[in-house]
Amino acid sequence: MRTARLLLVLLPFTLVACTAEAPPAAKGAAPSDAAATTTGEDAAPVGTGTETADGVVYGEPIGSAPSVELTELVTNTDAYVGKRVRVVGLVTGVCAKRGCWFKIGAEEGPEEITFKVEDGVMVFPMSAQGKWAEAEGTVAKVEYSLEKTREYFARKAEESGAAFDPASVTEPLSLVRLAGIGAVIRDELPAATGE
Amino acid sequence: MRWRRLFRVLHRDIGYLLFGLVLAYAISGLAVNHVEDWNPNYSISVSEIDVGPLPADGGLDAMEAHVAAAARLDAGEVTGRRRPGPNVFIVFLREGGEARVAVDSGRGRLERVSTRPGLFETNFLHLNHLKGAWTYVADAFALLLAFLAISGIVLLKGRAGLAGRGKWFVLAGLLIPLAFVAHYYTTR
Repeated sequence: MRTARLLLVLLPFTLVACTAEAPPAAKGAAPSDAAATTTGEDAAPVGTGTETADGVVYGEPIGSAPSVELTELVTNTDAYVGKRVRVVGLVTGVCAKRGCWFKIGAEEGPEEITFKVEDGVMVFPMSAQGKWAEAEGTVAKVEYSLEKTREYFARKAEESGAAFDPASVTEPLSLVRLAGIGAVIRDELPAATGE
Repeated sequence: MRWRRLFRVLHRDIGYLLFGLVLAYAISGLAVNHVEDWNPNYSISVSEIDVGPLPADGGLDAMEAHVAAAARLDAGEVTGRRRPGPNVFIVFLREGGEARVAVDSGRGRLERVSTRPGLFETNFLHLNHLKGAWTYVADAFALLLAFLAISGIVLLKGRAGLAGRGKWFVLAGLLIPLAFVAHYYTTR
């Protein structure tokens, strides 16, 4: 009986010791000097991101895939479908409920793609919006029906406060999606990469 | 029997130990169960704004400065900006919100985001967003819950025990999820 009680007394201390790791970067705080890495090779597997000197790192290490300009990827999507690429762009939106995707867009211009992961694999905070992402994943093309395309543009128009006529949409839309492998979110656009 | 006495002590003390975590997981469970109806992590408020026409000269920097000043955004609150179309300008805010206005009129909306205190953290523990060492803590929690379930049904002897009325409650508790599973497979 005493042994059992002793075990129960010790258990909380074991739990505390196990949890003594870096806190999540859910608030998207500024990078620290704690773990210097450029692509997250040393980062612990934290779904909410690991703060490094280079930014907040998510998922697997990135950097091995060829870098593709956002405009090029959006314009010539078919040439990249199924290929692993790396893209740099502004985080223009984040999944508010599950944190399972974010949008990467141009600072000036309509180009936008979605970086999507399975629920819980990586969890992106809403505070990532407005920061710069270097993201790596496999390219997929998502084809919308005409009805879905109209819904999409209606939502976009509502967001921007513009008038929208469903009849003005006559062709279905196709969107670019990256099946997310890894990403680094930074406060500033890295000088070497450019948008 | 000595084992029953040991189970009682363990059941009681593990119950005390897991009190906080069970409550946290229960609250988070309720919260994320209804994720289609509300946002369990963030509170988002939207208001109309009118910052006046944005400056035609000075590019994105001038537009950003105009919106920040007119919308009275705090210094350091702005994290980025975007102009996705000729008449749309967006200023992104630190916690995930944004000010989205029409370039010609300056009218638009201000969206502010804040995490739900306590619930946000509870959810990322419950859904194991931390991963790493927390996975093992969650595993230990799950195993201890299993122990509580098993020890709980064998604690009492006699008419109130498993051999008595207890078996009917256990059976009912098993039948409810099994009925849903059966329904799923017979109707798909």
